[in-house]
Amino acid sequence: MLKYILKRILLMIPVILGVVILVFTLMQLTPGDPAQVILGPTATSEQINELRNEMGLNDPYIVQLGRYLYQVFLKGDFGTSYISNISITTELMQRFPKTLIFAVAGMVLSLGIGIPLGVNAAVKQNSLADYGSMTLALIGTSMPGFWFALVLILLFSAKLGWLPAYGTGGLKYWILPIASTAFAGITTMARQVRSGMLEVINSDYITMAKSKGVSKKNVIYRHALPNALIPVITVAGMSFGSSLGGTLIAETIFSIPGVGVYIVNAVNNRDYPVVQGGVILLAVAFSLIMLACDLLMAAIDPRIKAQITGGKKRGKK
Amino acid sequence: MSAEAFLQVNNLKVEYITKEETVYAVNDVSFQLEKGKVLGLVGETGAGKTTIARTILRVLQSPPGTVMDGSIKIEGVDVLKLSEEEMEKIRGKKITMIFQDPMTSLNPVMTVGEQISEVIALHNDIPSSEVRKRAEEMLETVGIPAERYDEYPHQFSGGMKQRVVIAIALACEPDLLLADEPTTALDVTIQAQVLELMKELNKKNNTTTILITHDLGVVAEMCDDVAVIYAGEVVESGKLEDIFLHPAHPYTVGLFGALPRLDEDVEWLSPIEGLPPDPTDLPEGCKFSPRCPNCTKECRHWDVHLDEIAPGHFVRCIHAKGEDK
Repeated sequence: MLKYILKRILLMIPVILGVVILVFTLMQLTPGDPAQVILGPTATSEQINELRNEMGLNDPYIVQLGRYLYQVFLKGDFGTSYISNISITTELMQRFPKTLIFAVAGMVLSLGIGIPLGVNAAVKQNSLADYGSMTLALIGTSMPGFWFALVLILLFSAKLGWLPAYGTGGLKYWILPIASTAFAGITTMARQVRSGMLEVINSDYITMAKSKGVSKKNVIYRHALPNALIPVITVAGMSFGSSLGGTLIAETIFSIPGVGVYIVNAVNNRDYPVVQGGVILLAVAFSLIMLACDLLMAAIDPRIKAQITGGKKRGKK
Repeated sequence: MSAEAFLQVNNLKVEYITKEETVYAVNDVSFQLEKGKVLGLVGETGAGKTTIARTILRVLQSPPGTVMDGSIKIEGVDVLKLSEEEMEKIRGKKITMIFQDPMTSLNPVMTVGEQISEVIALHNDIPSSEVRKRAEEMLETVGIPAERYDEYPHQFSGGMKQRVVIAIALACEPDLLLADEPTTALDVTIQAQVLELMKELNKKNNTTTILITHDLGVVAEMCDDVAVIYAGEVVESGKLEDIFLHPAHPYTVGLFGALPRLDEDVEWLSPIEGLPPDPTDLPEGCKFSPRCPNCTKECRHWDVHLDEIAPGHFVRCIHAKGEDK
C-alpha cells in the first residue's frame, strides 16, 4: 500500500509539470501584452519594448519556459505579480486558507446533510420525503449560485439585518457565503447518494442481510451505504477539488479575498505569473485529493484495493 | 390436515401490484411440513417458488409484492402477523434462507468471516472472541479453511461463496431452512458437493427444509415430500414416492416425460408443449388446461381444487379422481 502511495505521489510530478508547461504556453498564446498593461495606454512603443526586454518577454519561448520551470520547481518561487509586485507565493498563502474554509465547510455540509437526505429519499422511495428532497435537489442544482447568494443577502442582511452582507471577520461573516455555495453541493450529493442507494438496495446481498435478521438501520448503514458511496466518492472529490480553486461568484459577491478572485483578476490583467501560480496550486491540490479519493475507495472496497496492491491473490471480477 | 405440523402454509396469496399490471404470483397455496422433513418445491421458472420462500421469511420486495391473503404458521405462530421487530429476531435464527445466486448474495465490501459473525453475534449473547471462534468453526464445517476468515467474497469461487452462504444460513442452527435453488448457479461437481453438505448438516441438526428447485434429480436425492407448483398453485403434492412413482397430474407426468433417462433409448425427449401462462392474465378454470394433453371442456371452466386421491397425495385435476390406485 505504501509503495502504491509513493508511486502515485511520484506520478504527480509529470502531471504537474505537464500542467505548468500547458498553462505557460497558453498564456503565451493569449493576445495582450503584460508590458502594455503595466505601463497603461499612454506608453510609447519604445517604453513598452524596453520593459519587455527587462522582463525577459522578448526572449525566445523556450528560454522563458526554462527559466520559469527552474524558478518554480527548483526554487519553489512563483515569481512576483506584474501588477502589484507582491510575491505570488505570499499572496497565495494568504488567500488559500480562506478558500480552504469554503471548500472544507462546503464538503462537510454536503456530506453531513446530503448523505442522510439521499439515503432517506432512497429508502422511502416514492414517498413524500423522497419527492420533497428531490424537489429541493432540483432547485439546488438548477438555481444559479449568484442569484441565490443575492437572495440570501437581501433576506438576511438587507431585510432582517441578522448577518453581514460582505467582508471577512468572525464566524458571522462566513455563514452566508458558505450557505450560498454549500446548498448546491448538498443537493448534488443527495441526488448522487439516492441513485447510488437505489442501485444497491435491491441487490441480493441486501436481501441476504435482511434475512439474517439485521435491523433495518444496520442493513442501510452497514450493508448498503458503503457500497452506494463508492461511485459517490469520485464525484465528491472532484467538486472538493474544484472548490479549492476558489469559488469565484461567492468570493466576488461577498468580497472575500480568496484564490478565485485573485486568479480571475490576474487573467484579466495578463498577470501571467499569478495565473500560472494559481493553476499549479490547483493542480497539486487536485492530484492530492484524487489520490485521497482512490485510497478511500480502496479502504471501502476490497476489490479496488486488490487492483491497487495487485500481487497477492487477485480476485476475479 | 393435522394441527401439529411444524410449518403450515394456508391459502397463501401473493401478488405483485404495479400501476401497469398485477402479477398473480402465488395463488391459494397451502402445504404443510413436519419437523425435520425436507420438502421439495418443484416448478418452472416463474411459477412462484421463490415468492413463496421470500414470503415465509418476509423479505418480499414490497412494493410491489403484497401478501393478499393466507397464513404461514410455524409452530402455531403466524409469521405474517408478527411485527418487523419480532421478525428480525426470527430471521437468521429460526428461519434462514439460502439464496439462488451465490455470486451476488454476499456483500462485496465485508469479509466472509464478518458476514458469518454478524448473524452469530445478532442472535447469540456471547463475547466477540467467541463469535469469531464459532464463525471459524462454521467455515470449517462447510469445508473452508478457517484462515480464510478475513478474505473478501471476490477472493472466493462460486462454489465456495455458496458454502459461505450455507454457513451463514446454518450458523444459528435454524428450525426452518429455505433453500432457494442452492445449486442452480453451480457446476455439476460442485452441485453434488453442496447437496451432500446440506444433506449431512440437515441430518445432524434435524433441520426442517424447503428445497426449491427445478431439478427433479435433486428432489429425488434430498426430499421427503414434494409439492409441484404451476402458475402459483400447488398442482400436486405428496410423499416423494407418491409423486415419483404415481404422478397423477398431467403436468407432473409431463415433467418426468421431459427428463432424459439412462434406461430407455429414445430419439427425442417429450417436452411439455407450450409455455407457462402469463401470470398477469391467468386462464380460467385449470391453469394448466391450455397445455394439457387430457384437457376437456370442463377443464377450461371449472374451478379445480386439490383433491386427496390417496392418503397424503393431493392432486389438482378433475380427471385424476379415483385413478392411480
